[in-house]
Amino acid sequence: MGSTDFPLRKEDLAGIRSQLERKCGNPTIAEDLLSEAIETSLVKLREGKIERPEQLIGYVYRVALNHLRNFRRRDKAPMSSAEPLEMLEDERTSDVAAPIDHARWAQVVMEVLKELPAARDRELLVSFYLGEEDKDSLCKRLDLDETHFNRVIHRARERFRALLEGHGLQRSDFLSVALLLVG
Amino acid sequence: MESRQKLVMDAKLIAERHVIERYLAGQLSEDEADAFENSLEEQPELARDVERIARMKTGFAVLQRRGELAALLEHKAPRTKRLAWLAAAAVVLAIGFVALRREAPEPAALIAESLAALSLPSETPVPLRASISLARARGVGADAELFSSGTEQGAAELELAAGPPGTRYAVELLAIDVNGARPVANLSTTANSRGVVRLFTSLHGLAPGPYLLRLTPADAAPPLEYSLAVRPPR
Repeated sequence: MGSTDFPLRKEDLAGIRSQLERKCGNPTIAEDLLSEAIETSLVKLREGKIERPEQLIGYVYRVALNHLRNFRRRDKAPMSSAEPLEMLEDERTSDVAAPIDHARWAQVVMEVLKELPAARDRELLVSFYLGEEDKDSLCKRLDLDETHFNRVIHRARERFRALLEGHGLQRSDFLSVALLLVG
Repeated sequence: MESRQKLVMDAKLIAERHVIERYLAGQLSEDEADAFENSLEEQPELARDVERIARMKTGFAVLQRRGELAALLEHKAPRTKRLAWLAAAAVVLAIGFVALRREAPEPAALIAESLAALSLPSETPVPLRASISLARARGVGADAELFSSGTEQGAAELELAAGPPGTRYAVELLAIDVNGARPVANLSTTANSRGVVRLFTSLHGLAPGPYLLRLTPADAAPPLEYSLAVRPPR
């Protein structure tokens, strides 16, 4: 794959790749899907089908997320003995940097959780981001009002952002103008 | 959410309605998901938020895999040294309780609800080597293949689509041989808010061969069965 005149680095896509891995169950497939998303986007760009170069990263995410969505659809599909296995291979076969990244993100999440004094707010975050319980259900179960829910989520996101940037992920990672190679 | 004509969600709406989290959780309708995907192209700065939330979710998942979430949920800022001593005493008592229950040395669990529970108290946490998500039992062939980690410690995470959230299951792991099915491990667990049962299985404790994982709901509904094939170490 060639170069571009704006940033597009695989390491900036590590989060979405980890979500793809979780959903498709195979780090190699996730990597292939992400590479395909990038390549598809670059082809679109070269063909002039992406109006502004800065839209490229959004387009990559659009394609990558669409893969994620397709896996979700497949999860909900009726049983078929012809379907392939959904399996994660040994983690050693995935990107060697991934475990380091994942451990770093886990450390930041741990810091966010530890900073929350109320056990209920910690449970809210875990149930929302990990358990994927919806807002209405959570508010009802934890006896929260919507304002409180929104405040906890907003603060957690902001705190995660701040701590992550402190750990090395900068806003400029996504927006800086640099010549970077993909693949 | 919005009318079908509105193909691009604005950033304010996406933030206020937690659209990214709901997208990643598969909670948006098809129209909403389409609109959000369109928004990504129109508002590429949203990609940064998606990436960050994806990382956050992965961070939570890693903590869960390590078995560290329960402690964090119960975490309290230390107020006095007395509390710290009480906590330490509780840990010592818990370890002592577990030790007393072990009348003789016994192997670590073959299946458990957390990675930490697969390890003996004296061991370092078992490294997670594979993660498998199974949507359903197929009934033909093995639903999943695992590779034994041989003499090295290793564990696999199994995410099994079960029934309604909160359903309690008796889980049995059965080794299959010419004589039939032989139970080798069991535990009780509960389906999470997505109706998924998450288990961890030892890759060093299970001998290569065919296995059956049976989930029997507490409400006497028919059991769910997943077949596992444990292959020799690669």
